[in-house]
Amino acid sequence: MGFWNILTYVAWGISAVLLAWMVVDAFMVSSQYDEAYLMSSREGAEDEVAHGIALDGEN
Amino acid sequence: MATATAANSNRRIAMLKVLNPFHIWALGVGIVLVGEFMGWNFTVGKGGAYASLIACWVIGLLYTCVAMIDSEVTSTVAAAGGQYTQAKHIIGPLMAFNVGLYLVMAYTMLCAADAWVVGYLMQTGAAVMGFADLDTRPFAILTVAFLAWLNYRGVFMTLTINLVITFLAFMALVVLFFAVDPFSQGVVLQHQGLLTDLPYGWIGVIASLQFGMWYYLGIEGTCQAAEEVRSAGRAIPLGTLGGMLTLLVAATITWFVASGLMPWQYLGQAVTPMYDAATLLGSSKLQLMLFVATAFAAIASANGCINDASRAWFSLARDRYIPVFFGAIHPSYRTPYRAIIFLVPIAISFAVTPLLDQVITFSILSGLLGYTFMTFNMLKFRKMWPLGSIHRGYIHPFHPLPAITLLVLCIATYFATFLGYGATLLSIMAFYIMASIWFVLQRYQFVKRADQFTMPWPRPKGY
Repeated sequence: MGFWNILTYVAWGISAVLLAWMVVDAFMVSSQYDEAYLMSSREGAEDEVAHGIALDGEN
Repeated sequence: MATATAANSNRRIAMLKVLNPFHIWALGVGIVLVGEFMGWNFTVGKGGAYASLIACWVIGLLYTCVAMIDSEVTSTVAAAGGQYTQAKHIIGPLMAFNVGLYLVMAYTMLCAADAWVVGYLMQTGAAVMGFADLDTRPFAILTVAFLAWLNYRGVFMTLTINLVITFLAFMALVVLFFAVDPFSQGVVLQHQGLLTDLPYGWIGVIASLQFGMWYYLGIEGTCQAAEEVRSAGRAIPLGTLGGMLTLLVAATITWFVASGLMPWQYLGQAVTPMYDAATLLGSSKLQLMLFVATAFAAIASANGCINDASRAWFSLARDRYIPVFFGAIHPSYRTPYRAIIFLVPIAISFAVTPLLDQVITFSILSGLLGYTFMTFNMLKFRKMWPLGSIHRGYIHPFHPLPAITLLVLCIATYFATFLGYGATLLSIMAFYIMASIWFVLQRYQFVKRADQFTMPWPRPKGY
């Protein structure tokens, strides 16, 4: 099996891992957070949570 | 867990405001720049080298109008969705739905085309190194998957990467320009011998306008980041107009170099004209640089397209124009993660289709429909909120001349598209009419009408 064949399989593999990671993470977020909260953003509204800090503390 | 849920239910989540004018430049120019490396040259095939230059500047004027109008309106509407949000506030739900759909389709299809280009470049590189018929699909899919993952994980890193690779791709064009000794005619460049009269007359010039959009298609995408910039009133006009200036320079350089090296009959059908230009110069270093720069430009474009398509889809969902499920924001990364995931299989399916020609035309026409509606948006915006009635980060000059110019140039470009892709044009129109009927009859009943308008704006004049 040559370099390019291996590269093709590596590309398939990394793609599958990345896509699976996103889907699994999305399911985990849905199970850990209230839907109303996840969909609570409003246009023109300011963020009420310190960037990436308060949320981590809440978990 | 129950405590976290209860605490969360009383709070609102929002996307992070972390972007600056350079990110906005990278978003706009990043989406477009691949068009300078490939695609623009089909204008040459339609009407010759001079027609391509005319299309470059005429369509440049169209996009300058787009950039000025977008900069003014978006500097007041600091919300994701860009032109969709503008249409919603200024005209109404049906136009907003259509514009939102144009945006999603234009960027998703463009992302698919970019991913295909990356696969094609890998195949070309493998062929040069002696491996024929490399399967392009895994590389096209990897491009979409990796960039979607990057977008999922946060907007700051996504657009910082875009800034770096877009700048490098632009610099490659500048290096190529100086490599051809641009100020000495007849040494490397052969414009005197290669530039002919218009081979198809003025109708060829009109026909070339359709592919002239490749020089700039996507610069309007800067507006999608309005909700994530630190200061929309400053960053959007600076990034968008700076991006437009960059593209005017890049487009002119591109035409100048390529038309001075290749006859129009070849240039008009070349797949990678700038790589071919580097090959003609006989320098393997330049050849490698242009190969890498073309790949960077395609990746930057796909990256920006995923960013923009997901923001447009997210905005439609947030207002319940489509299922509200897609209006969720990731609690850690603060990105519209469900919208990003939803668009991945669509982009991949079009990236591996053999109908690339139709995919690109769909993207161009969706963009063009959006620009057409922007003219009406702008005229009504100034009427409803005259100067002084609302804070504007930027006021575009000579109103209503840019809006009228934009409308006239859009009509000319529709005619150009009809000449080459009449059946596609009509089927795309039919698709959007069907979607509009569905929205009016089936979907609008689910929209919470008052919830759509949460911007702290004064009441419009006359209402």
